[in-house]
Amino acid sequence: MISTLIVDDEQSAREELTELLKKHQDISVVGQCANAVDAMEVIVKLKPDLIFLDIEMPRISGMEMLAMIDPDYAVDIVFVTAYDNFALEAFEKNVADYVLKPIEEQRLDLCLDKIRRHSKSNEFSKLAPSKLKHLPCFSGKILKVVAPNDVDYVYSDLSGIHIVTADEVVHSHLSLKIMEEKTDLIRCHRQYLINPNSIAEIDVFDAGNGEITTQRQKKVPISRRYLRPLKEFLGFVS
Amino acid sequence: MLEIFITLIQHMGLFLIIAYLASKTPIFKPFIEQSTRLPHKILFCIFFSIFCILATELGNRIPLKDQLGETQFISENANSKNNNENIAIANTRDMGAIVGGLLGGPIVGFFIGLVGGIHRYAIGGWTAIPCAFNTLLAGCVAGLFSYYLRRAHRSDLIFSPLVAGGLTFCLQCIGKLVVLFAARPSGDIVLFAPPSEETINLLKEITLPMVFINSFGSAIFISLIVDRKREYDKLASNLSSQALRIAERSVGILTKSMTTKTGEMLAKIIQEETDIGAVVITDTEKIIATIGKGAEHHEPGLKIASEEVECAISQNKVIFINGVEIQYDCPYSNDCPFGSCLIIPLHENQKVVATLLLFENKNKLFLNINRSLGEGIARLLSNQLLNNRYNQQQTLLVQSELKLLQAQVNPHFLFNALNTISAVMRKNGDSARDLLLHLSSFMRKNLKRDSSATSLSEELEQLDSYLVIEKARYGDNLDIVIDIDKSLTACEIPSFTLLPIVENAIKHGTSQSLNKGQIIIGLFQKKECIYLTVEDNAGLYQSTNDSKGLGINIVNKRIQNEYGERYGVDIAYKAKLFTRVTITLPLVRQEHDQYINC
Repeated sequence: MISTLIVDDEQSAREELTELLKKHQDISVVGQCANAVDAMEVIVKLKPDLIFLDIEMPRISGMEMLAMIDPDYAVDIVFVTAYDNFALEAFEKNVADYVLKPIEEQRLDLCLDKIRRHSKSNEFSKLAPSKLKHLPCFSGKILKVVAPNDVDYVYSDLSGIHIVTADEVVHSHLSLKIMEEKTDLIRCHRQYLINPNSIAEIDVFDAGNGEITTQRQKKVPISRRYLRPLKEFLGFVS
Repeated sequence: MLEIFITLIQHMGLFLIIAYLASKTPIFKPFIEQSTRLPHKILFCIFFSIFCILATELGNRIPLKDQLGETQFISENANSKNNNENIAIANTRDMGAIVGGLLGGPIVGFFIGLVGGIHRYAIGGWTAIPCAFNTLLAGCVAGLFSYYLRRAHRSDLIFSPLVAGGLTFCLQCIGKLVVLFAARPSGDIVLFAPPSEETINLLKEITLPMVFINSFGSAIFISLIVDRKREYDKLASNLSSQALRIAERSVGILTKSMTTKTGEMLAKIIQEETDIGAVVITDTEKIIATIGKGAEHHEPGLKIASEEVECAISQNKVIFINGVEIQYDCPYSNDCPFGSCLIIPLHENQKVVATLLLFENKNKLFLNINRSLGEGIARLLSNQLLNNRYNQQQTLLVQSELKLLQAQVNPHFLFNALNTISAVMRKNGDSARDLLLHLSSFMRKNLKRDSSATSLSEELEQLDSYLVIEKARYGDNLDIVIDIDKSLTACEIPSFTLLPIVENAIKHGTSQSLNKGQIIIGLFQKKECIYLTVEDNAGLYQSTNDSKGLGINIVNKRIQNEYGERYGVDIAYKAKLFTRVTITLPLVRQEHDQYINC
């Protein structure tokens, strides 16, 4: 069985695709999401084998969402779009498949055949932007989008990933690794990323570790392993 | 005394005849102008100085009489100088100084007075000094008086015969008093002594004729000038009113480009107003229109054959064939009745696009007035052509902007709508059919649109179709509230105004919101304006992003183009809370709809 996630901001489009996929015995639709934030949650939780991804979505486009998916996690992506010349050109050059809305059954069959034949790949990451402009977040049931520049620091604990901004703490399904790679946040601890712009002071301890005090008087630990790279980054090491 | 009267009247008549003749020549032009420039002043000085000298020379020489009233006979062998010593001169000299002073101002008056006075003094005679002084005084006083009137913004009084006559009268009276108290038969000047018998005798003879003839003469001289002035003004006003009439009648004819029809109308107007033989209008290749008797052989559609016209077009210059030295040689017919012709190129952006030909019959002279008028008309028409071109481009611009707006919308909207409908069809055939009808109605109205105004109700109808489809697409994620004052739906609105704003609110507003979107559309009236508001709850408006603002910018520009700067589109927004676009329009009810409402 191929577990499948449908991400589209239009309910009717999701329903339509679900309906079309019902004919294929080996496809099971495990979830439907209306936006990238929800989708990231489901992807992290269910790790589907196949994602039908709409490009035009609120705030975070399908393209940007690609960049948020953990590169180690192999998944097939099929783009779904109504009308976007630019995107179509991009698809032609790459392995990622696409279907046009309204979806033709034959075209969908062809697309699924291709997926069944080939092993999952991460080639689509070529399409993904190298830097994220938005971080999908949530706080309770409210979905939020935070710009990387507004982040003070990010940390992870058993309950998940937490993003600290000037006025709130929100949560995200993005991994620290993705955020480290695709934003300007830098690693200072196994569980912490810090925005260099928010550093006010650095205390260096005898044990070889240290502690950052942010502009807003928050404390962020620095582990021994990351102290030196951090100091180098900030220009302290001769 | 009667003899003196008659002589003086003769002199005055002579001077007035000279002045009248002069008034028929261009030399006279400075006299009728109120503003006096330096060349004019010099002309006045020369003219009136000659006047004064002539008046003195022609003056009636009166020999000195003794106490008994007997003429003292001058000895035969006395030389001319001695001859003069015993005479006084009854003359019209002061008239020149006064009129000159009035027309030319204090400096001119002083100069004329000085010249006249010196000349009088040089002749000699026992009244020479007081008389010379009087002339100088008259010139200066008249000049100062004229200066005063100009300063008091009453320069119209300078050209009043009554004022000139009165002034001369006063100055003459003063002059006679000066003579009375200052002149001595001996030729000496004795101030404030009782007048001598001889002086009294002399004054008895000359006072009345001189005072009256001079006053009368000044008044007539000024009235002569006034008459000429009126004549000139009338001519000028005739010309300008003729030009204005043509301008008035031709306004609007050229709002469309030059065609046979517009050309004919124009030619007709020009022919009627100038009463010229014939008027022909050509474009750069052929004749467009011909009006005028005997000009029928200049048939519209014929190729331009005359060398002069070709020359006027290629060199962009006015060509005048006066019919005297050069005859107009008609290339179309040997029996052409026209001898003179004025060819004026009409240009648009410095490029010749047409010519205006004015013809006059062989036996008639081509009036100079018509010539300058023709050139003026050509300038007027050229401006109209330019204006017309500007308007055309403006319209084109608006149309293409409108097309751009429509093009921006259609593909995305159409694909999304079709997609939505195909999805709905599986679940509910009826509502899919309904959506299709809305889509077709929307598209039909979109096709029908041009740049003209439409009624709000029509705009709202299309918006309704649009919203039904968008609502189906976004489902529960989009909430639309419409709060509209129904009495205003007959109002006029530029087509394609509301829709782009609502589209923007959905495309860049609610559809970008991760949470539920709401759009509130309002319409209300305040004073003489109607306000259309479109508010979304996303609050994602970014003023820096040009591409998103393009639709709104075009709508704003179109409204301001149509109704003026007071109206247009305003944007209020609060980040993450709302974006509110307000369209302000003048309250214009569509007459057609009002009629239906009745």
